[in-house]
Amino acid sequence: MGAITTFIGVYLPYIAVLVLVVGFIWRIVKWWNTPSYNIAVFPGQTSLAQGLIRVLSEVIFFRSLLNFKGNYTLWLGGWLFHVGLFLTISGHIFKFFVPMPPGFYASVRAAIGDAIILVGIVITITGLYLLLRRIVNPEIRMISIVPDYIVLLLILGIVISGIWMTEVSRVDVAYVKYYIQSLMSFSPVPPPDNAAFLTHFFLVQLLAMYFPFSKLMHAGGIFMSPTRWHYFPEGAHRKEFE
Amino acid sequence: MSEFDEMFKTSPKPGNAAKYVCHKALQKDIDVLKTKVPFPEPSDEEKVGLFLRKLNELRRSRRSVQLFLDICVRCGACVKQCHYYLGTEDPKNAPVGRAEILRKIYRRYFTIGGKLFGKLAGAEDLTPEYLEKELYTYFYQCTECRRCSVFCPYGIDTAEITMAAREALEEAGLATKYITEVIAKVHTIGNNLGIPKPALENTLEFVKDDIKDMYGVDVEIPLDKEKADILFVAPSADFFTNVDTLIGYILVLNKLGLDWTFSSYASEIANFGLFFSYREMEAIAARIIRVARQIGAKWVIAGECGHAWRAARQFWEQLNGPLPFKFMNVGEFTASMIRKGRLKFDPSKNADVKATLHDPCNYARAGNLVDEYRFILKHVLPEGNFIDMREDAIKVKTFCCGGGGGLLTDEIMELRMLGGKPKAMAVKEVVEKHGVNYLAAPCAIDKAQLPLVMKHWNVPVQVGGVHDLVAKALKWE
Ligand code: SF4
Ligand code: SF4
Repeated sequence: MGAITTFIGVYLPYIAVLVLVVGFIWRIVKWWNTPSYNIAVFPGQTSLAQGLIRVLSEVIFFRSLLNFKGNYTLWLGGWLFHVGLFLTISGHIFKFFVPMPPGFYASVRAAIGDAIILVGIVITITGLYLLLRRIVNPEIRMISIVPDYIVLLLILGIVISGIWMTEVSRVDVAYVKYYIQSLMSFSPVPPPDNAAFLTHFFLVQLLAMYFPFSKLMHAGGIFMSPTRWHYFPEGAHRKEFE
Repeated sequence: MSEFDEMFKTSPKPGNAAKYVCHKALQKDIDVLKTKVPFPEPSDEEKVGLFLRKLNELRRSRRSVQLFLDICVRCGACVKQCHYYLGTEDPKNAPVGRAEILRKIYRRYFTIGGKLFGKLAGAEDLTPEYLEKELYTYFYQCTECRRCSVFCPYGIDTAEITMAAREALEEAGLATKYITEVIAKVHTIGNNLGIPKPALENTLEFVKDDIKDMYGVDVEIPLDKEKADILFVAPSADFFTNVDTLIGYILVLNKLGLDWTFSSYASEIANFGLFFSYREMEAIAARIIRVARQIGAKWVIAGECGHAWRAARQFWEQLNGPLPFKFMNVGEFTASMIRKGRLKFDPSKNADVKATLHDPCNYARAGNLVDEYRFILKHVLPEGNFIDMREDAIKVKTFCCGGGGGLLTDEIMELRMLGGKPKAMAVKEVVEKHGVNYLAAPCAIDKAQLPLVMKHWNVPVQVGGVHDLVAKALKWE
């Protein structure tokens, strides 16, 4: 193992996870501890449950983007991109951390065939759309800042190297799993000797460490938006004069 | 393609709106403000530091500010939702473009990325010039209408950013002439227009005679009663320019035979503190609350005024604490009385009126007050004489008149007209298609701004209040 491989494969994973977890929690706690005025934007929620429904409809369906016909393409692109990421990340978590009976993954693979790769392709295409839109649409270009491009490029790099590693350079998936679990049990074995895997893994770690310091925190912040979350309880304001 | 749809074909023109700058506050008004809330007058070198200190304080004390500074992804969904962007096409007038002006400073001084990588991370140094050319200029080109918030996936309300920026600017001694002038008048005389009590008494005498002439009824217009169940607080503009609306309130209250009063001390429902700073908003609201307490009012009723209703509905209780009375908007009041069958109308009196309703931004997005005024209009107009505009321009998606947010000032008239364009185009559609001739606007700012906008964009409608029509149709027997 070269020094760089050792660093990426043995030390950096721990640093990355630590930065991600501590950073994420720190940001959420900081928001949580900041007092919030009730500045609900109507149509208003009248109970906590309705506030929750409103927030979830944003998280799951990106509902506000459907408020304006000019945003439909953005809605479709953005939504597919995020659904793709969600499926992929859940897939990884399942595969590495949730113990399943032997043969489970093989049968899943047999059942859905190349659909897994399809998800990767969807992320790539929609990610490219989001990137192109920033470059081509003059309005979006003007409001974009360098980190906006960096985040998209990182994600595209991760997805493409991921597809490459499984489909082209055919990394030994069983060994990858063995390696990840060795990291989990704090007795790391050498990482798979595969350039695509190492690239993929390294970019993931970069993204993880960048996450808490970037706009990616919208993933947490969307749950806390004061205009959507706040509510005015029924009866607090009287609409009948008596 | 209609002219309304045509507007959304924009192409950015950087710097297009840089020339619209509000006049700075005058010393005499600052002197008045200083007696109520601190108003520093720093030197150029101190300004930057003071601005940053205040920004830091605001982001730590308001989740909205911190969160909205942090989580915008610059997706651009809000860009074409701002009337000022549609009107000027200056990217700094797009909600996200506007917020980025402050975000750049936030990143530079309060985030790791901005401190380390500066411009590369989208950060910018704060200089006295930046304070004036960017922050002061563009945050006084936002009417705090909150339309952007409706379309943002995270509900980012650029008005919150604007309010924070303005408060921090105030800390650095930068405020507009118009807003400080108005607030100073409220503190010294009691209302935005600076109408002293004798003038108010006179006006009410005239109004009483007018009502006698027009409707043949004798009404009571109590002012400063010592005890009353209802304190009615109208925008002061209603005493002078929107007298027909005022007559509407007075007729309704007289018809119902309630125990009510106007107050000369609290003769203004408008609250320009909303456009300036929370503590100013609190100080102005305190005047009304004080009178209501004194006279033992059970209800405070707010006249037709949009932003005032936001200040009351969302902030009175949060800023001024628990209230010893209930409060409602006059639209809710009248609608409630109609529902209870206590007001009857003869719609044929309004037979010549074909009306549409402009939803004031703050009624719709901050007050959940959109159905009541429609309900009233349907009762006072003949069947079929109320016509709504297209769905994109009403209720929570209503477009701003272009004059709210403390921007109703002459030096930026051109900007105001450009900002009023989306509303004008929406009104134009119903004028051309349905022969609408009356634009009902239950808000004092609208009543000042919209007639100019409609004239500018050649839309032949009369602008007036909702209670103007109530007055005409109200039955006395
Ligand atoms: S819609 Fe929201 S997240 Fe998107 S650019 Fe506008 S403020 Fe930012
Ligand atoms: S609050 Fe209104 S004026 Fe201000 S940026 Fe948003 S849409 Fe524009």
